[in-house]
Amino acid sequence: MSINLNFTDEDWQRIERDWTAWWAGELDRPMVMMETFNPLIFGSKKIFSKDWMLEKPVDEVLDIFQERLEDAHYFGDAWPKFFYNHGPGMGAGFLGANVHSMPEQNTIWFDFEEQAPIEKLHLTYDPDNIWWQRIYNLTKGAVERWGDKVAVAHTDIGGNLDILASFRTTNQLLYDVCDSQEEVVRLSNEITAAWIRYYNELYDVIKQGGRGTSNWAAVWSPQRTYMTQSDFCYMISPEMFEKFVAPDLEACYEIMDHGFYHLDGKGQIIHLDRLLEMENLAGIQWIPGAGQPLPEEWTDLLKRIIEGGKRCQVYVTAEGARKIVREIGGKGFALYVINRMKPEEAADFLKVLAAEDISQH
Amino acid sequence: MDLNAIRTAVIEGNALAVENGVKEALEAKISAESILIEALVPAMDEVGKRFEAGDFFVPEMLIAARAMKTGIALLRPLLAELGVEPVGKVVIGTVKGDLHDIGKNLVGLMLEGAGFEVIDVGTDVSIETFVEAVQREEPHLLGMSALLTTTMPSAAEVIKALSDAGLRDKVKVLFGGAPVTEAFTEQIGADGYAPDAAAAVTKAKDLLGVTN
Repeated sequence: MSINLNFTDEDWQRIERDWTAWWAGELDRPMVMMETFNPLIFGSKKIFSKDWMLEKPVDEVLDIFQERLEDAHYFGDAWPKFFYNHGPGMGAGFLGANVHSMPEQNTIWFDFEEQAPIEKLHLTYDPDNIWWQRIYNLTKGAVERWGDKVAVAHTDIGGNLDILASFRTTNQLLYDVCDSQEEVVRLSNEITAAWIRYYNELYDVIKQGGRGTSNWAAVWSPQRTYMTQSDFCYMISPEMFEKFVAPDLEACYEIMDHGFYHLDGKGQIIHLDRLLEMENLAGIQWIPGAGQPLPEEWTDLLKRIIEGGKRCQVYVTAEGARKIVREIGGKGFALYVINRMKPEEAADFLKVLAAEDISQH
Repeated sequence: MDLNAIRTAVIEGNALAVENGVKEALEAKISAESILIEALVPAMDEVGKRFEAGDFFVPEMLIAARAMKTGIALLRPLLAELGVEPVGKVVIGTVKGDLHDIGKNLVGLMLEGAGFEVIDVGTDVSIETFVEAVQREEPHLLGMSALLTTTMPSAAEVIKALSDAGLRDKVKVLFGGAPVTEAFTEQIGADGYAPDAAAAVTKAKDLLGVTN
């Protein structure tokens, strides 16, 4: 089925050229993305209904997305993307956790009825898992339908301890990391092995489209990227991060060209130095968290990321983007601007940003 | 029996050592009240300080609290016989629409460690349930938690409902959680704000005039 996007093959050539230069450190400006709809928000209540999550035929789901894709405009370094939001950490569902949809609360959650001793828990790849089948079929259907017109994103697989928490409960896992350390390491390793297999199998499908890789976040790569995460590490010490989380992240970055980390909340900042040491980690996304100052107010932190040799992605207002380019310089940043703009407003804004960017002067 | 050993065992989260230590202390005719006040409570106070200093993290706090509860369980019947009252009664819960419970649980554990009686009404707690719990339990303090900006306003509705039910003057209200700020807490008419579990204990003591 053809798709009529407000985005041409020439636009795709520009996207590939500029993002490639950005990853290589050859671009003195930031990547700046603006869209006329926010893919993280649109339709998510409907998407989290059981009908959408499992039952609606793939083509009907893609029809709805196609309407939105055709209606959207992409400015700056934004690109047309299909990210099917099955909620945070669907890897738990792939590995056998129960998936509970809560469309009214705009989320899903996971649990596992068997609260057996941790020694009895084994988490392995299951090709017949209904959630894995669903995501695989949606990804494949999207690539077959849209080909090289739309970048089809990896689903949100989740972080290793976040997935494990879905099986053990977060509260129990907090005890497990003290009481059953070797078992937690074993399960983390099992999850990582399955995670890499999910990533690779989706990649084998996605690469057929020839438009690189992306994920829920505002980062695109002509090669292999992903936004890794570990929300659980907000609550643990650097020593526990080293034991339970760092090996998993490093294993994931080994299979990627442009691995990214989702640094979510001030409680994770204690792990930043260790993240900066990870040779194969290309970039860090900073999310300050609810109730905290906006991303552009964290100047020292953003500088640490950039000066630590990593790319940095943030969601900012237009004013926030201007503050970053004025005070730090835009080089190395991927700025997703959340304001909705008309084409001429977006063009003017990009000129203002370029004029104020100390990286370019 | 050295009460310092019990204190150290709590801080290290060694529940078995706490259990053995409390039993030995009781056999050595140390009163339950002394064990509570001179070992368990100061141990949890130290745990809270280490958390605030960034030396302890959530798992270390949880296992310390678990060890402390092992000791409390042994002491509780003896304390009741002695007529030792909790330093205050607290109802805690996470507000409507919010399923997060780690922070709320930690607050409950730390308050117990400080000698409070804690009634936990759970997560996703409706306004009516909070009001009913205050009516039924007659606590000195109501502690509410929220982890989402979208659920924070529910705390304001609970405070209004307490006023409508004529209960507001009978209970202090403490509100906290990652997105909650002191300014928001003042705006909705709560009595206090705490950014984390250790701070919640300090604030609860302040609000109720409890001295260490």
